[in-house]
Amino acid sequence: ARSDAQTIKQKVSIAIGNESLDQALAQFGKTTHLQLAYDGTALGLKKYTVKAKNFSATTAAEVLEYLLQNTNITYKETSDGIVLVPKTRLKQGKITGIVLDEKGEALPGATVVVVETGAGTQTKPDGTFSIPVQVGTYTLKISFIAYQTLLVKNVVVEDGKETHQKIALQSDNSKLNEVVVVGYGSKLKSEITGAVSSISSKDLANRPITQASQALYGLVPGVYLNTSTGEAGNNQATIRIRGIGTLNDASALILVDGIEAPLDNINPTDIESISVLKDASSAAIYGSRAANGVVLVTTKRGKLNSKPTIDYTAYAGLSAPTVLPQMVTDPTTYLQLYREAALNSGTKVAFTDADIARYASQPSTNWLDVAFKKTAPIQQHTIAVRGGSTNTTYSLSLGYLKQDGIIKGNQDYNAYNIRSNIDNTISKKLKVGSSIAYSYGLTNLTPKDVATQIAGNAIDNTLTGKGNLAFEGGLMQHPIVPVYDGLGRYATLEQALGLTSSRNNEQAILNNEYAVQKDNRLLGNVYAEYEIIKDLKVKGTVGYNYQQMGYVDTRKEFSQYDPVSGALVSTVFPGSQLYDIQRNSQNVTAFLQSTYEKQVGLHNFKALIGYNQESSVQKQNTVEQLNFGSTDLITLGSGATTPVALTTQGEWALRSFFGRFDYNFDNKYLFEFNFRRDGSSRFGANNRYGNFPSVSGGWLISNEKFWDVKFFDLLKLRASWGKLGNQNTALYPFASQVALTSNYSFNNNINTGGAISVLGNPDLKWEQTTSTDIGIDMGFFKSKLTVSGDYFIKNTTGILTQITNPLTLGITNPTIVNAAAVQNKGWEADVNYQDKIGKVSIGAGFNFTYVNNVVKSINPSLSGAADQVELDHSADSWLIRGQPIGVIYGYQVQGIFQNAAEIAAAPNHSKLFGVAPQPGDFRIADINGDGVIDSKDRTVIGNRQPKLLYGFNFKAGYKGFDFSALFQGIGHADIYLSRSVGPFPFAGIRSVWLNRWTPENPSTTYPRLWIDRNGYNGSTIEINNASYWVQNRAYLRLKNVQLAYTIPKSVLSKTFIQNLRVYVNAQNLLTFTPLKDFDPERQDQTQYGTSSLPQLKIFTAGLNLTF
Amino acid sequence: CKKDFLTRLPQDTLSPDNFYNNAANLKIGLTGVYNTLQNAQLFDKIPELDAISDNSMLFKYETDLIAFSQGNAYANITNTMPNYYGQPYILIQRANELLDNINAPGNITQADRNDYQAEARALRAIAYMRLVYLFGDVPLYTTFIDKATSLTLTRTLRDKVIAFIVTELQASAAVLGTKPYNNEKGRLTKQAVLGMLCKVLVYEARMGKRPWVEAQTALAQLMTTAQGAGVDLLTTGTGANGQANYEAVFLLANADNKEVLFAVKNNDLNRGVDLSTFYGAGGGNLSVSVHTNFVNDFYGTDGLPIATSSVYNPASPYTNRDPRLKATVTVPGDVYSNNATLVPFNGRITKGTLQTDFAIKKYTTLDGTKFNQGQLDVIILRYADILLLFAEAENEVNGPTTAAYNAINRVRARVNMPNVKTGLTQTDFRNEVIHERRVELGFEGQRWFDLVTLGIANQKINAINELGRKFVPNKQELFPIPQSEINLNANLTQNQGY
Repeated sequence: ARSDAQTIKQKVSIAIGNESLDQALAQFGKTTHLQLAYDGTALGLKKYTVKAKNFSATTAAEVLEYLLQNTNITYKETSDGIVLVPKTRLKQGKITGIVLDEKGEALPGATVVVVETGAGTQTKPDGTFSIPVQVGTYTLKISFIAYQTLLVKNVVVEDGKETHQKIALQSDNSKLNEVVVVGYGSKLKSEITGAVSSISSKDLANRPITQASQALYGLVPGVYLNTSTGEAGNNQATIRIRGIGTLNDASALILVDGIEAPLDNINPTDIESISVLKDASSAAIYGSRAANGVVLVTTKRGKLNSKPTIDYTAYAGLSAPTVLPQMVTDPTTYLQLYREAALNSGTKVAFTDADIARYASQPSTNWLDVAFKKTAPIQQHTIAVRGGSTNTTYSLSLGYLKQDGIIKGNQDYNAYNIRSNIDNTISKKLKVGSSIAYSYGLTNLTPKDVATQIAGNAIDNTLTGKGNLAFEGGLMQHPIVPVYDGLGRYATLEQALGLTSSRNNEQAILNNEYAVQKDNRLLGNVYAEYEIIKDLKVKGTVGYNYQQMGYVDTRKEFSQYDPVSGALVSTVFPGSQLYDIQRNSQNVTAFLQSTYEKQVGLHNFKALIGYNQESSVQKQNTVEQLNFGSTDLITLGSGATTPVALTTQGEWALRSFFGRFDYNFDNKYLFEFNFRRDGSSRFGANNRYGNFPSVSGGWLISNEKFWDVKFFDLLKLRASWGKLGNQNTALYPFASQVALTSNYSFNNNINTGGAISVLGNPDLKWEQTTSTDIGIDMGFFKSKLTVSGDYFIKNTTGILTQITNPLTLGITNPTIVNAAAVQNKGWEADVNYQDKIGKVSIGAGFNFTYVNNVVKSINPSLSGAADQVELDHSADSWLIRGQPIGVIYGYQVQGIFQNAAEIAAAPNHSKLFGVAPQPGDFRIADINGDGVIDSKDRTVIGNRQPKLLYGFNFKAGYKGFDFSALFQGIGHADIYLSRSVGPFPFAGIRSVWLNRWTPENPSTTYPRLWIDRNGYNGSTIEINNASYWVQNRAYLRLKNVQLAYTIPKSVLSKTFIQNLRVYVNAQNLLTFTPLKDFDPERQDQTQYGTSSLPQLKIFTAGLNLTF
Repeated sequence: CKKDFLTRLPQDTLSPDNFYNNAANLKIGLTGVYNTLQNAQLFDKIPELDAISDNSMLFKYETDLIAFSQGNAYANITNTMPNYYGQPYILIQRANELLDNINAPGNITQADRNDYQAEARALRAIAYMRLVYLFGDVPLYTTFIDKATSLTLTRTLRDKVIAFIVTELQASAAVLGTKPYNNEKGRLTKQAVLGMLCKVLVYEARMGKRPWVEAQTALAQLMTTAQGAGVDLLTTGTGANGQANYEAVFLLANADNKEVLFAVKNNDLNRGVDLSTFYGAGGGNLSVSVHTNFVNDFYGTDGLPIATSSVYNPASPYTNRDPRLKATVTVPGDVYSNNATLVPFNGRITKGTLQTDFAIKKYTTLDGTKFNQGQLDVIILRYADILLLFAEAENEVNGPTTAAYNAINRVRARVNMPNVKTGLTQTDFRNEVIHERRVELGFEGQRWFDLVTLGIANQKINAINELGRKFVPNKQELFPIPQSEINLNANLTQNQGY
C-alpha cells in the first residue's frame, strides 16, 4: 500500500524549466516519488516541450495536468501507479438534412432530436437542419405540430462526414397530437390538463353554415347551442357552455384571433379552428370574463415557403322550413268548429247555418301559404389566396353570402366579408403581423311585434311579444277571409259574421311593415413579437373592434276592407310610423405577453406573463317619427310630427394581469398554474379588482415504463381547479343615478323631470365561479379509438343579482348586490373512432353531455319557499331555490274530465278560474291536498334547461368519395307554448284540434274547444299557466349530411387545377321530436316563442377548387 | 396609462349628490314628483279600481285583482295589487329627496322654494292618502330613506297617517294660490289641495272617525274659493245637449277645463297609459267587462229608475236613459271609433274577451276621432265631485237642505236630468247622492272608496250576481300588505283576514 505522500494528491513544490516534456516528466517523477509508467516513443514525448513554471505546495495532479496540456496524452491512476496513455481522438461527424411536408414543401420550425444524446434543433426557414454528433449510429426523432412524429433509425455518422437526411412528415389526423389553441398560445392536445375541445376547419367544411355560431352544433361536448329562429341573418343563437352559470349574461366569451368579437360576422370558410375552453384551468387566463366558458376562433393564415394557392369555394341551394303546422282551411269545418268552441266558452255566435253554407262555396285562404315560401335560394362564395415566401405569409379572402328569407316579401340576408391575415419575419428575432376583417351585413327582416315606446324599451330586431308577425298571422287569422277583396284591396273579415279579427291581413303586414338592418363591422389587430434572448419572447397586440348598426323599422299605413260589403273596416298605422336606430360601439384591446420556454433534460418549463387592457364605448340614437303625408316617402324629416329622439350611451374598461406556468416532466407528469388579476370599471373602487387562480395536473400513465398494454396505448388522467369571474352586468351598478327621464307636462309643454333611478352599490364585487374538473383521456389500437370523459362541478356564488327592493323604498330599479348562487354539475364524454379498412376509411364520433343546473339561492336573506322570483310573467319563467334557472311554474294538469261524476268527485275546481269545469275540461292536481284548487296548488311544471346534450357523426371515404353525417340532439327540455297553438287564438285552428274532446269522442289528449282565453280551458293558457301547455322539445336532428367527390390528381395533373372537390349537402334533413307542428329549436325563454320562425332545411351543392 | 382608466361614470344620468345640491334642479326634481302621477296604479289607469267595485270586473290579466273581486283575496299578490302599494312610495321618496334638499344653494327666489315645497308636501300627502285607504296602517316616513332603512320600517297607525295628511294638506293650501304657479296648468292649486283635503275629511266622517261638520265646513269654504278661482261645471255649445256637456269634460280639446281641479297631465309626446287598448271596445285587450247592474242603475230621462220609469223601453233599453250612460259605457248597437272608421259593436258576440254586453267608453274613445292612447289627461278631482261631496256633508250635518239639493241638482242639470225629488228624508237623500256619485263618476276611480268608506261594499258587491263577484266583509275593506314585503321585512304585520 502506498502512503498518502505517494498519491497524486500530495502537495509538491517544483520548478519546471523551458524543457522537453520528457525531461520535465523525469523531474516530476523524482520530486513526487510517484511511479510513472509510459512508453515515451509511442507517446511521441519528444515532440512536446513545456514552458517554465514554478509550483509550490501544488497537488501533483495539477502539475501533471500542466505538463500534459496541449498534448495528446492523458494519465490514469492504477494500482501500479500513474500510467500515461494517449488521448483517444474524438471522431466527429454531422447529421444534416431537410424536413418536408407531404407536398414536398419545406417545413420550418420542426423539431429534430437525436434520441440517444438528446441533442436537438429546429429546422430553419428553408426546412434544413444540422446537428454535430460523434461517430456512431443514431435514431432521429422529428416532430412538428399537426404532423405525425417520425423516427428515423440507423443513421450512421462517420468521422468528419455529413450524413444527409431527407425527411418527409405526414400530417397527423389523429386528435391526440393535434395542436389546440389555448389562451394566449397553443398546446399539443397531449399536453393539456384542462377541459378543452376543439374543432378544425375540416369539421366545418362545406356545411351551409350561414352564421358561424352554427359551427358548434353537435361537435363539442358541453356546449349547448340554441338558435331561436330560422330567420335569415338573425338566428339569435345562444351559446351555453356547461350550463347556465349566472343569472346575468351567461354568454361565453368569444375571441377571434385573440380579440373579443361577435361570432356571427365571420365568414365560416375563414375559420381554421375553434377551441372551447370549458374548465377553470383552461379559461382562467381570461379570468374575469371566462366563467361562462371561452370560445377561441382562429382564422386561416398562410404558410412560409409555400406557393400561392387560390381557393374558390362555393355552394348554392335551396332552403325550406323544417315543419309548418297543418291548419283547418275548409270553411264549413272551420265555422262549425268555431261555433262549437264559442258555445263551449259561453260566447254567442252571430253567424248562421246559412252563413256556413254560403262560405262552403267560397275559396279559403291558408294564411301560412301567404306567409311562407315553399323554398328560398341560398348561395355562398369565397375566394381566398394564401401563401408565403421565406419571411412573409399572407391569407386574403373575400366572401359573399346571400340567403333569401323563407317569409315572402323582401326578406333576405346578405353578408360580405373581407379578411387579410399577414405575418412577416423581419429579422431572426422580430416578427410582425396583422389580421384585419371587415364585414357588411344587410338584412331585410320580417315583421315583428316590437316595442314602439321610444322612452321605454327601444325597438330592436329581437323577437319580443308576439314573435314573428307573419308566422303568428298564419296561425291566428280566419281562413274564410280572402287575401284581397274584389277590388284588389286588403280584405278583412266580413263584419256581418260577428266574428273578431284582431290580427291584420298578413299580406298587408308583409307589404307594409318591415325593417332593414345594416351592420358594418371592422375587426382588426396588429402584433409584433420579439425574441429578446433565446426562448424568451415578447409579443404585443393591439386590437380594434368597431361595430356600427343601422336599423330602420317602417310601418306604412294601410286599410282593410269588408270583402262582402266593401266597407272600410280599419286603417292600420294611420299616418305611418318610422323608427330609426343608429348604434355603434368601439372596443380597443391591447395586450402584451411574454413567454419563456426551457428544456433541461427531461424537464420542460414554459412560462407566460401578460398584461391586458380593454375599453369599450357604445352609443345608440333612436329617433321616432309619426304622421307621414305619403306612404311613398317615409324618411326622417318628412313626417308631420316632430321627431322624438333618445340617446343611450356608456362605456366600460378592464385592466388585467395574467400569467401561466407549465411544467412537464418527461411527458408523463404535467402541471399548469394560471393566474389572472382583473380590474373592472363596473365595480366601485372598493372592490374593483378580483384574483382568479387555477391549478391543474395531468399524468400520462401510458408513457410510464411499466405501461405495457398493447391495445391500450394512451391513458391520461387530468384534474383541475380554479376560480373564474364574470363582469357581465350593468355598466354602472355601483353608482347611484339621477335620470332626467321623468318628464311631465304642464299646460301642453313637456318639462324635464329628474329622479333617482338607481340606488347604487359601491361594495359590489366580482361574482365567482369555482370550477372543478376531473378528466380521463384514453386511446386504443394505436389511438384509432379515443375516449375522453370529464366530470365537472361549477359553483357560482355572489352572483350579481337584482334583488327586488322593498316597495316602500320607492325605487323600482333593483339595486344590484352579490347574492345568488347557482350550481352546474355534470359530465361529458367524447368517443372517436378512425380506421382504414382496405381502401375504405371510416370514422365515427359520439359526444354526450349531462348538466344539472340548480339555483342554490337567490336572496340568501329569504328562507325556503319565499326565495323565488318571477323573471318574466308572460313567459312564465321563474327562479326558484333548488330548481333549475327559468323553470315554468303553474298548475299541474292531470287529465281531462270525462263526465260530471268525475267533476263532482274531484276537488273543488270552481274557485280557480271563477268558472265551474265541464266534461272535456282539464283536471288539475290538488298539490296541497286541501280539497280546493286555487293559487296555492301551483308547482314547478317544467324545466327549460336540457340536461342532456349529444351529437354523433359518421364518416366514410373510398377513393375520391367521402360521406359524412352529423346528428345532434338534446334531451328533455320544456317550453311554454303560447295560446297561438291552442284552438282559435282569436282565429285559426290547427288540424290537430280535429281530435278534440266531444261527448262522442271522449279524447284523453285534446280537451274540448274554446276561443282565445275564454272559458275554463282557455283560462289555463296564458295567465293561469297550466302544464298542458308545457311541451317537451327534445329532439334528434340530422344536422348535416354530405357526399363529396374529389377529382383524382391524375386527372387534374394536366390542368392548372391542383385540387377539385364537388359535393352535395343537406342540413336539418331529418328531425325526431315529440313537439308537434313546430320546430323544436326555438326561443325557450319567452312564451311567444311559438311564433318564432322554424329552422330551415337547406339543400346545397358546391365545390372547392384550388389552383 | 391614465390613472383613471378604470373609472367610468354614467354618461346619460347624473349623480344624486350633484343633482340635489343645486337649487336650479329643484324644479326638475318637482317635475319628477309629478311624473309619478302617470304611474298606472297611482292615478293614470283610473278605471281599474272600479273593476273591484260593483261597476265592472277585470278579465284575465290582473289575476290578483280578479281573485279579490271574486272574494278570493290573498296576500301573495304578484301582478297588479303590489303596484297600489309601491307606486305611492315612488312619489313619496321623490318628494322626500326634494324636500330634504329644498334649501339647496342656488339662485332662485324664496317664493319658488316655498311653492315647490308646498306642492311636494301636498303630493306626498295625496300618495299617503292613496295608501291609507287601500292598506290601512302603512309605513310613514318623511325623509329620504336608504335600502337598509326600508327593510326595517314598521306600520304607522292609519289615524296617525290621516292626521299627517290633514296637516300637510292644510299647510300646503296655506301657501299655494288659486292660480297654478307660473300659470303652469297641471300644478297644484289651493283649491285642488283643499279638494283632496275635503275628500279625506268626508271619508273620515263616513267612517265615523271625524265629525261631519268639519267636512261640511271645509267644503263650503272650498266652494267659495273655487268659485272665486273660476271653477265650475263645464258645458259646451248652448249647453242644451246633456251628453255633449258631460263628454266635453273628458275631451282632449278641453284639457284643463274649468271643472278640473286636479288631473294627471298627459299629451301626445308624454303619454300616459293607453286606456283604449286596455278598456276600449275596439282595443286589443278589452280587459274590463261592465256589470249589467251598473248599466241598469242609470235612470230613465224622467229621473226614475228603469223599474219604474215610464220612458224606459225594454225593447230599446239604451234609449231615453240618463245621457251619462252612453258617455260612460259602450252598449250593444253602439258605434265606436276605430281610427277614422265607425264599426257596429255587437256586444259580446264581437269581442271574445268581453264577459258582459258592456265595455267602458269613458277615457277610451270619447274623443270621437281616435283612441285615447294615453294622450288624454286623467282627472283626479273635478268640481262635480266637490258638489256631490258637499251635498252629502250638508245632508249629514243639516239634513237635505236647499243648499244640499242645489248642489246635486246642478250636477244633474248639466246632463239635462230632472231635479231630485223634493221632500226626501235624510236617508233617502243620502242614497240619492250616493247613486248620483255612481253614475256621475263612473270609471273615475271613486266608486271603490265610496263603497268602503260608506260601509256598503258588502251589500252592493254581493248583490251583483254576475261573474262570480263576491266581497268578504271585515277583510276586503283593505288590500293585503304584499306578502313579498313581509318576507323582506319581518317588522311588517298583515291586515285582518289575510
